[in-house]
Amino acid sequence: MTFDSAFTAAPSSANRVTDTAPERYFNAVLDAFARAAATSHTSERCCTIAGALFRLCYAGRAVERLTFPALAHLETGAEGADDDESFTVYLWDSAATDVPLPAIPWDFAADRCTRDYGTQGEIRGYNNARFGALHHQWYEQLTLIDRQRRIGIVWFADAAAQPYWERAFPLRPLLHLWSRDTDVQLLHAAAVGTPRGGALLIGVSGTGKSSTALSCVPDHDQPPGLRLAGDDYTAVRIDAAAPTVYSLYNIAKLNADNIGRFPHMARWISNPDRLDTEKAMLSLYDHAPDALIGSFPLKAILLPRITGAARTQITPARPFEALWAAAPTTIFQLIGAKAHTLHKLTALVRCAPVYTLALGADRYEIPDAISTFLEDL
Amino acid sequence: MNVNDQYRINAPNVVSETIDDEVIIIHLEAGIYYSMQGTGATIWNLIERGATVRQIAESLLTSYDGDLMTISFAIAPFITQLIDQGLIVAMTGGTPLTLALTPPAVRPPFVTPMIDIYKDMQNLLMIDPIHEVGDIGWPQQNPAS
Repeated sequence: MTFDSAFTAAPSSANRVTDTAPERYFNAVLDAFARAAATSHTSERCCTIAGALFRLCYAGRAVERLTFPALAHLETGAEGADDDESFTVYLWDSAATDVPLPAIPWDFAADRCTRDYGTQGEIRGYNNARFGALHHQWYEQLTLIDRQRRIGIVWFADAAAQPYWERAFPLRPLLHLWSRDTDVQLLHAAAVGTPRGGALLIGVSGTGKSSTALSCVPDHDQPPGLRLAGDDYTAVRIDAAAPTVYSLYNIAKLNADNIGRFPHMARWISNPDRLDTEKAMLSLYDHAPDALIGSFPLKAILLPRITGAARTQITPARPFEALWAAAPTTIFQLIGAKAHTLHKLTALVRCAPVYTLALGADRYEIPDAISTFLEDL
Repeated sequence: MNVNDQYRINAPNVVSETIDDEVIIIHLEAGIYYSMQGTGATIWNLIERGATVRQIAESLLTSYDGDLMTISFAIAPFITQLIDQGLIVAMTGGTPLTLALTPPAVRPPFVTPMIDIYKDMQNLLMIDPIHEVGDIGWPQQNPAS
């Protein structure tokens, strides 16, 4: 399928919905993207995300700068981009292209959420088996998906004006909508491992999840033992026989008061002048590509806890504790498909044994403790 | 509350899962989540299956070591709390549940059902956007809609 042919590809007869409003608006926004692409810089990138090939088609440089760097480690060649199983995403912003978003058909008010908006921007009547629509009013983002044609659209009013964290985990709404009918689930979790297997690190902010993941990035030139699939967000294929963890993003975030624990990373920080209001952002792909891993078999789920004890200890925990750690934060951070998400997370915590990771004070010991533990499983 | 009353989970606003006698319940609209264990989890699972208040009491009396008065007096306020939290709603015309009452080998002591409530995720809900409206690209409502 070419860049342009996606606009005209006819839907198959399968799964056709009777209400045509979602399709009409989707096509109107797709036409607007075509106008933006006709008059702006365009580019294409192909990434393998959670085992699926995504073709990212950009109109305007700002959106690519916003969304691609965190995915750069997943870039692949275009082979297979025309396959029926590949997924194409059209991304553009109005500020860079001067093409406005088509008038939205649902009840919209600039200063409040109308009755057509769910509590997180999901548009009532525009989310069904085939289509998905999320409109974030605060940040002026619109995400649309047509599962039947395997096309997504991501629009920003101004890509350059998005909050800084979008650069660290871009396209989460789109990937979440895409994954709904698959056995893949996005997860608020860090992940470390080797090709032989690894662990998810699940916990809300402050439990030591990111610090544990970053402690696996070596200080010097020695090869890493455990490698990092993500410090905050990952994807997992929930297959009881072979659960698999996938890396999503290569940009790590650190609280400013935690940078001192990782002095070798200080020079990697891309936003050193804004640490009073932003977390430190570090591109591991640029500075420590060997520390990253694209995927690994899931061998254990670890629930980190900061203890202040000298040594790191790993002890059995209940599956419910993993669900409790993962579900509220994942479900409320990801928009839409929440019942699906809870069901998938419940299946996930039954896929692998669950342990509490009581973190010791010596950060150099943590990777070794996890690595030894995983080898013994 | 009548002994023949039935309730249902307030789906789709409320979702829940049970693992090993522990329940997580999430109220998606309110941004509040809950946990229950033991007798609370038992009652929740019975409500999910469509049990009447009477059947809930009979089941608890079979499964736990407690007297009917204590159990009955504990059920009503618990169910009222579930209603007040918007987690369940009254159901009319529900199919009666056929409940097989088999006492376990060991009946644990009856403990008053409790629900733990957590509200720390509410800040992730987009209740009312506060922003500057830009000139370029900010969507406008279609006047024809």
